[in-house]
Amino acid sequence: MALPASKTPESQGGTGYAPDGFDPAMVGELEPKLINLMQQSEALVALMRGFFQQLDKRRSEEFSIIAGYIAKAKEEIREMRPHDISQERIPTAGAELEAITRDTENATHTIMNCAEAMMGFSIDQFGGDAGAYKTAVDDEVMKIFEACSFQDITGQRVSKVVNVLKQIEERVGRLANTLGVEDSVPQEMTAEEKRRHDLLLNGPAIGGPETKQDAIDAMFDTGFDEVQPYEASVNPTPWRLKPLQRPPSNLPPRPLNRSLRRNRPPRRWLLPLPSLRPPRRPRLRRRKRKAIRRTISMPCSISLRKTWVKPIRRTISTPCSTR
Amino acid sequence: MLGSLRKVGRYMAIDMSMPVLVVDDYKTMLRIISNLLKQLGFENVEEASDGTEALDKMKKSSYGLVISDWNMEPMTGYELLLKVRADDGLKRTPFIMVTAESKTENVIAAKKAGVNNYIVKPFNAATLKQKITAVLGDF
Repeated sequence: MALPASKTPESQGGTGYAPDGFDPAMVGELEPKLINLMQQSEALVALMRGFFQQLDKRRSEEFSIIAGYIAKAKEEIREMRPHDISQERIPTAGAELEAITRDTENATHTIMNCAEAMMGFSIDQFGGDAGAYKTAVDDEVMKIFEACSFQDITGQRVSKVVNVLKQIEERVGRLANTLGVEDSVPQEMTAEEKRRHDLLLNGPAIGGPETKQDAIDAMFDTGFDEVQPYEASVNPTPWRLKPLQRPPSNLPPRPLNRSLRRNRPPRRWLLPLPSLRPPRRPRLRRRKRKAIRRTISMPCSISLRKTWVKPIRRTISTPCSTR
Repeated sequence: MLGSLRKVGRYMAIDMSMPVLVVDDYKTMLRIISNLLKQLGFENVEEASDGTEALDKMKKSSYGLVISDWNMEPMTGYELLLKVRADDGLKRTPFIMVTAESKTENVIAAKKAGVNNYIVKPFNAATLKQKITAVLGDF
């Protein structure tokens, strides 16, 4: 606040202002406010200092955690022996795979050469000597047997490659777990991937062809319009339950028991219930009925089924008739 | 066209001296198919190691049948089929795909592209003969 500098207090014979040019009344009025403001500022500064100190401490803790994390990751990567993988194991695996291809190709060609040679043999070639013919065929067969030994070597090479892949998988998995890495969302396909996708280059399926030759033949025979996905062509299960149907509305209402009449539902929703009363037995002739009555009075347990009636009646009919 | 070819094939013998082109990038497979074809009686069997070479050969001389693998570099059998069917001079050539690509989508795509038959690897001589018969007729 700018004050007139020339004003001095009148009691000092001046103009009524302090020598530094401030109005004492105003100074007296402002002083406590200024002191209060300064105290608040100091409190605020102290508070901020504490905050920043805490912040520094937290940040240093975070930095120390990150440093530990990096050190651990470095340790894991060191344990992975990446140079060993890139310079030793993967080239070895690649060489093994190339050797497998080469070995199988050589063996196949050897076998095919032998087969072609045998196909070309004729008895005339050996001057009609069957023994010489057999010897030549046996030689070729032995060559085929020898060539088949590639299978053993190939198996060993394949197991070496599989071991390398397992080691890499294990180490990468452990590193990912240590670093807490999650798989990212797949990015756009590379040019090679896109080409393979567009040209349907899927490669051979594991465990035999995915679509068998018979199925392909059926597709060619029936025409491709009729080919339906498997699910659609499956017949519905014969034991599928039918949905509940309303009874026809023109049926007369079924008479109900009196006890049920009180809270009965609307008649149109009632379904015919199975009768609990046993089916009525057909009326028998008088003599038959008599015979049955007698059987009931007998002490042994005798079934009242119709099939049993005849023999029983016969046994009892004799005393009846003599009576 | 193919229907009439089949009908003709039922009543007429196939000219076994007609040139047959086998396309595969594996020499072993080329040799196997060629030998099988020779065993079946085809006298003139030629080989190509990829789609580009096969297309060049087809443009230079005509073939009575093409038997091609699918998975080849740089031009696949599927691309070869598309190019053959798009070419007025070649589009009537019977084409059989012999491949390990056994997904239904592959079979449907090949059929849509105009393949005459489809053989899944591994196959035997009887299957090969059966498919050739289905395309060209009895022989």
